[in-house]
Amino acid sequence: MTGAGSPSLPLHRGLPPGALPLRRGLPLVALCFVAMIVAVGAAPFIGSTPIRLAHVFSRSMPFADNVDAQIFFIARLPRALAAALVGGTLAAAGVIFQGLLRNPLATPYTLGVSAGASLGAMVVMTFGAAWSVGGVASASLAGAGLAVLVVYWLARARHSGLSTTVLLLAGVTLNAFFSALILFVQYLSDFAQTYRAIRWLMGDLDVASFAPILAALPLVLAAFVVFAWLARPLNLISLGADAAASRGVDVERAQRLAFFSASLATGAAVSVGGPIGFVGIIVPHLVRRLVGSDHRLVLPASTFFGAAFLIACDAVARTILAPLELPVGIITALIGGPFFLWLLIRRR
Amino acid sequence: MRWVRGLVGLAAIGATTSGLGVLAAAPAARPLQLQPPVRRIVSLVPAVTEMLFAMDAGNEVVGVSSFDHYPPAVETRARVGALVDPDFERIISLRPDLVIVYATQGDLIARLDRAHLPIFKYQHAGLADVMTTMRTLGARIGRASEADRETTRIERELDAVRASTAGRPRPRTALVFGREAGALRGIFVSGGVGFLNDMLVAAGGANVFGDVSQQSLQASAELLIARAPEVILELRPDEKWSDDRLRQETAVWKALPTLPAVRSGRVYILAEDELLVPGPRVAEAVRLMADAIKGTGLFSATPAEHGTGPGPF
Amino acid sequence: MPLSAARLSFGYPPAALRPRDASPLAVNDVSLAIDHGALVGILGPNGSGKTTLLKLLAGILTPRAGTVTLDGRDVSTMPTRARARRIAVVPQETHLAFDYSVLEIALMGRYPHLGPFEVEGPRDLAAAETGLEATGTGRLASRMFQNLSGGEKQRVIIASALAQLDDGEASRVLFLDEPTASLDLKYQLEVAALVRRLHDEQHVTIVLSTHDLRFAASVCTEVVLLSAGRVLAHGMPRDVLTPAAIAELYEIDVSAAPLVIT
Repeated sequence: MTGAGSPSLPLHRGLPPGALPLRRGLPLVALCFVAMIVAVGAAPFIGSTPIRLAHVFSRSMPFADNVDAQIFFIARLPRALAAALVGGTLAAAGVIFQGLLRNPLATPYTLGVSAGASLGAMVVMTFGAAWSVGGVASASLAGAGLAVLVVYWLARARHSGLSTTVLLLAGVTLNAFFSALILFVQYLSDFAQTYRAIRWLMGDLDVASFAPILAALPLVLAAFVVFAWLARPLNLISLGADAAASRGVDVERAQRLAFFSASLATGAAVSVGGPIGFVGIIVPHLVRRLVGSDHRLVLPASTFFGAAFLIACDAVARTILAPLELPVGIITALIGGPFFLWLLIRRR
Repeated sequence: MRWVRGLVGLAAIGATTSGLGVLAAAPAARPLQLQPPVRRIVSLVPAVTEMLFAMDAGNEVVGVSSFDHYPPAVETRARVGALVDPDFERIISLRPDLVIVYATQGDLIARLDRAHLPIFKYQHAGLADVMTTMRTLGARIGRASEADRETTRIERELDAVRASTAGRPRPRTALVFGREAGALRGIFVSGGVGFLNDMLVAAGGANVFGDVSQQSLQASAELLIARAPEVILELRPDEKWSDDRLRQETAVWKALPTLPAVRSGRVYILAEDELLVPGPRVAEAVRLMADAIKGTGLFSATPAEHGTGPGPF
Repeated sequence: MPLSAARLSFGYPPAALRPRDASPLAVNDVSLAIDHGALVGILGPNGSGKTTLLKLLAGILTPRAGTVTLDGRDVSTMPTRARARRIAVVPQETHLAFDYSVLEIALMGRYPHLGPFEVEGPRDLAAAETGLEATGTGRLASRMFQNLSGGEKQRVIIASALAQLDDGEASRVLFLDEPTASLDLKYQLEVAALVRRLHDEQHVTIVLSTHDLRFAASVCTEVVLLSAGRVLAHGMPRDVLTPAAIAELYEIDVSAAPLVIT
């Protein structure tokens, strides 16, 4: 820093721009991207029914008779893309929530979004004989939206600002309340409906067409644009809200954007594949260990790694007990439990 | 008066020991002299309620489950809860001399035992067990001949259905009993064992998931494509859908246009409510299914365009 | 033109469960004028409103009444980024939610100099490194923040604040909130020496709050005595820090008031 009258830069030690910590993390982000591409490319070839590569891409057989190609393009490819969408979104939303709440244990579901989505789905599954508009997916998105509005309203009720503590309390309250409502709806439903509802809660990526993916895409893309903008403000917010404010961050605006974008993205992901757990917390944790805590690296890396991770989990889920399929949420939970145990032991 | 108590005690012991542990598989008729007359029956199992009415014991039924709807007379009976939430106090208040429960309702059974109420435990099993249960129940309540009449009728009708489909090829059929409305998600089908599978076989179909030795499984898109069913039967007895809605829901299957069943338009949604009840109406249910398989059912999907196009995109 | 405050007042919102209670004003009708290059200490006991006053002067809190001006411009109407380039605040303690390297934290001070998607350039790297050198933490650049000692952490945050401020002619103010409060004596002395050196070498106005008498007396060129939100005195330490003034400020017996060695 120079005094008045000499505006020239002082000599620094001549370090090249590569010394910028951000640039050093880029190769790892690229690696995660490659992992995602490989996963999307490989997953349609994996499954309980053996298919022949030659037949899949053969032009001579009419598609209607080509079972191998049908399995590849109708059943498995949309499924891999759905897994990528849901995995990437949940991982990125997890990063945003952890930044917003300044806590690495926050998940996309901490603030009640998944409870709202589950309630919406369950209401339609039990009572929705007449609800044919978009079915369970749109109802769960509506439930998620309702949860977001209620939590935001609760968090604003007493303060002109947005306190993350109050936000957290509001989210926990909503989770409890909506969970009670879910139990009540399950009580009113008959045996078959309850069974199907419980299966939905375990996660299901078998979309069987591109329609659910395309329906969720606009919301997810909009959210990701906001995520990209939020990366740097979240870095500063990790220092503390006041510290960020004194560096010129509009903290309340950043918090509001983070809350809404991450919640709605989570709602979209849950409406496609159900409330799949652990992706939103395992992936950010692992990624931070690899690339550090700069959100400009953690966000893209988590998105790509989350996509690859969920594709892999889904591949395991649908092959391990062939021809039966395990719900993918069971696989993520089976990985999640030991993961947390390991974290706990390691932290000692 | 002690002698009354003694008599009631004897009767209770007799009732309990004979009422306990009656599973669907026990065939022997019991000596009627040891059975106290059954005048007030509470039934938590809708299928068994139907059996009671079919055996002309409807007037003895004083309490039914929350899910009972057939025959219409049950609407006038008291409701006592169901599988998950049986209302013990309500049951007691009806002063039953026989309570029909699910064999899995352990808590309720224990409480009924403590109250010395006679119990008939129902276990859900295959198609043939419907008849066995009816006969055992009939013997239990002193309606053996009526039970016999009914079971003979059902078996005769089933045989008639089997005869009507004999000699015809058995189409590979997927029997769907659960699916998300409006989408091809959460599809549950019948596996190779159990009541639904038995009905399908009796109706002249070959279960395309017959190799799976469980009663039900969730079918993914990949599995359906790989198994390529020629007929899809969806059972939706609980939905009160309009004709338009039924057509809409049938058209949902076009999301998998390459399935043989979808290409040839052999996707049927059956909505009659006797379909999933393992009771006296099974023969009607099987006949409905057989009609659908033969293609003479009320609803058939419009055949999809022949899939010789470039692919799914 | 200096940093000045005119008739500042501020009170925190009343407690949630007792809205009727009138909360006392944390800062009550305070007016101050601080010159370029001064090293001002706001001295007072806990609860006197020092941190609140500091935040008001830095533009982090909006006063209920009164204005704060920097170079004649009202701080509360300055765009946040422009203000951040002139005013930097070093809080008493920094608790990170995630672990960053020292260099990353220094670079975070460059936020107000960059556009929304702009990446740091050589100029920013230079500013960050200069800040680290100025606080003697250059050799820690690749260390992780959580592993540093208390004194090192404080100095890194100061470096980040220095990186935040513009070069050039305009007034720059560095605020430090209780810079030595949570440090061991050794680090207190380190930070005190650093503050003095920064003031001498960097030509930046420094305003700090403290309840430590000795620190204020030995480091600051001016001292403001603050008690219950009001200014008791403002001037050079040897003029202001009389036994009588200290006794009134800390509510102690005159005979027990320590002598001040300047």
